[in-house]
Amino acid sequence: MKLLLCCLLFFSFDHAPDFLKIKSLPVQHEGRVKPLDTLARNSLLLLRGKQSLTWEEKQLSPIECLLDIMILSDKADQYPLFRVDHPDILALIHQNPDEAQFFALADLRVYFEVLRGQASKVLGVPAGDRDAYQEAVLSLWTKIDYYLRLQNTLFIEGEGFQEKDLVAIDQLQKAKELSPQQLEIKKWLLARYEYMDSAAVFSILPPLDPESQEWSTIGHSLKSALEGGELHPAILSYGRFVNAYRQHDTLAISYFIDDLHTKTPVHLVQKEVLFNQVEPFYLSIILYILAFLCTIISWVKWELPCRRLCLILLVSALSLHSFGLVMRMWIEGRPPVTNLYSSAVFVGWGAVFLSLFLEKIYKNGFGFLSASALGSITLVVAHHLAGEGDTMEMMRAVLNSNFWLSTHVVTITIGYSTTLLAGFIALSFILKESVTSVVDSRSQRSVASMVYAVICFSTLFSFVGTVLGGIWADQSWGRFWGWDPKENGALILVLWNVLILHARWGKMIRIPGLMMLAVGGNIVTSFSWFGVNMLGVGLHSYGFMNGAFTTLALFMFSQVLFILLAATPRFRRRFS
Amino acid sequence: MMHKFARSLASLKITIFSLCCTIILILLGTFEQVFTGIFQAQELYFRSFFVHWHPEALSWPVPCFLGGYSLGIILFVNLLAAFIFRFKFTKKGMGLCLIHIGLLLLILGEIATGLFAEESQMMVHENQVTNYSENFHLLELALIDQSSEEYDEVSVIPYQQLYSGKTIEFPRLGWKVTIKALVKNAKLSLKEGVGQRFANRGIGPNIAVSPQAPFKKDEQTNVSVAYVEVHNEAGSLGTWLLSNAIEEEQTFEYQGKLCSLTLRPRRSYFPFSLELLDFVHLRHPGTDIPEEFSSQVQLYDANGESERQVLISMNRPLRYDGKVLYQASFGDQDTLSVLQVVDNPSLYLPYIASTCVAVGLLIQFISSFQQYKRRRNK
Repeated sequence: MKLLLCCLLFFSFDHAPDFLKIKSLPVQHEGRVKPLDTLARNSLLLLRGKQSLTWEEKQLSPIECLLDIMILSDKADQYPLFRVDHPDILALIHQNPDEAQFFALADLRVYFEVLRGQASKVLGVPAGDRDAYQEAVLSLWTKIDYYLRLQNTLFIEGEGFQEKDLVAIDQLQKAKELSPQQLEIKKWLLARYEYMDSAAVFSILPPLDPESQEWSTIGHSLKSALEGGELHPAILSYGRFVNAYRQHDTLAISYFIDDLHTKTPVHLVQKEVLFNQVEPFYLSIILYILAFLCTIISWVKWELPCRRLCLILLVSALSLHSFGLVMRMWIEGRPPVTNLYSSAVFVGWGAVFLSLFLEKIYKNGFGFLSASALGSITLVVAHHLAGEGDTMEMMRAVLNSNFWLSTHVVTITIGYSTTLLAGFIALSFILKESVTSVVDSRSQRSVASMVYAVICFSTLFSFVGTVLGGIWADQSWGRFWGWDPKENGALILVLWNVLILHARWGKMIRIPGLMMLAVGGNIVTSFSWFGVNMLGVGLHSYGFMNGAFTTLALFMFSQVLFILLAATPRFRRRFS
Repeated sequence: MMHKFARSLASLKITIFSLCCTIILILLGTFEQVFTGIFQAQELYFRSFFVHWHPEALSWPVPCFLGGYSLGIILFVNLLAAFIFRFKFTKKGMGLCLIHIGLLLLILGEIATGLFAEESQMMVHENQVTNYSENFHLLELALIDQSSEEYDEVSVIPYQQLYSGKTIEFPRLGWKVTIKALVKNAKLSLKEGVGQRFANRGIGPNIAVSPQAPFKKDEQTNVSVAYVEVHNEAGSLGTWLLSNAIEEEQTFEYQGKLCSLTLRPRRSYFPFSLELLDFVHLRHPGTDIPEEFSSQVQLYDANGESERQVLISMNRPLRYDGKVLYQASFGDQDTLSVLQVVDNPSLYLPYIASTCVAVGLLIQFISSFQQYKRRRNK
């Protein structure tokens, strides 16, 4: 643990060291114990779509935003947190319907009734039948509701923590018989705490009972104290910290944070705080992009130094990438692929790892190119998949880790990874051959053998992954194969890879054909990985997502263009 | 001549063609699922010889694409022919052989599952004993003779076999049952005296039936209706309206014999029975996300003797009497456990097939790697 602390301090770029300690406070949210930092980042992502906010020329970190929202509500009400872009909603709030903007709560307060009314009407419409306006208004109201609930999590909004409440509770507990006046006070206090408990977004107080896993909200704890239970030792510390923050009393803030560190199980979340501080995936993206530029340059000039630099950049990027994956596995206690976000991260990792091997064997720059491109693209895609909030969410019962599920998911993801790798090498090859005039048949055959080798890998992994999935399904609900869209997608992928291999063996396709089919593999993979989730059928359905569908369609179309490029006689003439 | 034909069956071109067709079939079948649900699309595309199109102009369906069974057979024959004529059973070719044998078994396994496997659901309420499971996709007409005190005699006719005008005879009981009308899917509503025209006994006279198009989505079950008349030489005893949406028992008495009529999901009775002792639904703290479902059941054997207590939970089914019982769902505020019962004689085929392929892949991989190393060392 000491090592972790040193790492933490090393990576702590925050100006006020106290923020690091505040970030490390543990809370329970959606069934998982996480640091306040994660909650802050996810909250900002949920509200704004970004993990940052610039206010009065200053960059506010997620934790600062969260603390302002929860404690300094007057200040936070001015922050432009809520994005509104649907023209009908903009018209509803008397704004210019052509200009999408970020609005502050203060701007929207006047329209609460209208928005709430509209949102509750939408709730009556079944989820699959809502149009864009209905989705947008519901989404906006959900965000406003979330914000308001955050304001009432630590104390009732605008009031600050009332220490006299604790005095009152103590008196009521000590009194043997309650006078009618005291009964009134008790009823009033109970109502307040009930409200706080129901509004709270997360539970901040660790369980007093060592056997229990349930954390409590401040409201819940005060309520049970009122009904004769024990007063949680951390409540007073939290209360005083909150009041100190309201008064910007840095000395007091520091004191109470240290106090809270002794009263809450901070050690539970230190790994995640370190992970958040390092931001490994963000750093990897930068390194991958630099490596990509290096590779392109190496094909034009300064080959050797560029390649050396590229290797260093890629190895560092892969190390950070691996660090991120390993940390996630360690924190969650699960195999590396648990949801769509982590599948994207893992696909990238697999592609980079294999690419570096390929570069070592073939030394033609394609390995470096695919490593850097696929590494950065998959991580960027992953970032966009994280929009819903916590990427380490708790798993539903049927997805509880078991051997078959873990191996199935990891193997099939490697299958996606390798198919995309073959496809990417093929499309960069098509592009390269289209722009250069020199015909080098040795290098052409070398790249073709690269693509072929990777497709052998894909066949193996996608097939084994599909079979493992069947075994898991058989163990879980008695059906090896259920013709579920996700299963069908995986099967199509296996068949596609098998098709390529058999066509090559039967000498039915040559190098251009191989490349075209390999790029086709990209289309098949994207359908199997993302497309099937949008159909709205079966176990893996996430519903139709407008933005994602457009991106997917554009991607598939771009791949078709590459295939057509390789089909032209001009291209085919380059191959004997 | 025959030899040449047989050899051509092993052609790689057939393999490529069938693989292409299979990919297209799976794609079409998947899109179909969006509109008609997984179960329907499966029956139409994958568990059929041809995919049919039902144009309104013609009264019979037009086959327009190869179905799952056809493609499975083509691939099977092609692979078998390839085995006989093209594969070399040498040490080097062993890996490839095993892989393809495994694939053959996988295809066989899926065809066998399509033909022989039976799935149904067992609804067990807390502290109640159940010995049957129901298949909600198929209905049956059941006539239950309750005249004996020790047992009920149940006669069932599958709904698929019913047609308007069909008469079923019960010589021992002394009467016949005639189907007056059938409606595949209808909306039922309670209205006094409306149904008098067609039914004159039981709850029928008070129910208005408005036929509607059969549901296509998986989650919706058709509300089927059957009007049955019970009669013998002496005359008619009456006409009842039966439906799977009616839970009330509809009975009649004749010469001291009490009988009930019902239209219900097809039941499979088991020689064993289960009693649900406790259903546990654990949620992740502070959320509604399920962490674990489990049913503590008491298993009774064919004689009604208690055999043992079993915990059935997600990913841990009960295997008994050739059937496998999985924790599928729950209801009634955590007092009802729904178990999925699977009876599949070809249960182990996919496992044998997968092991075959796995071993084959391993051999192939090792030999390829050795070849590669030899080439590098030259």
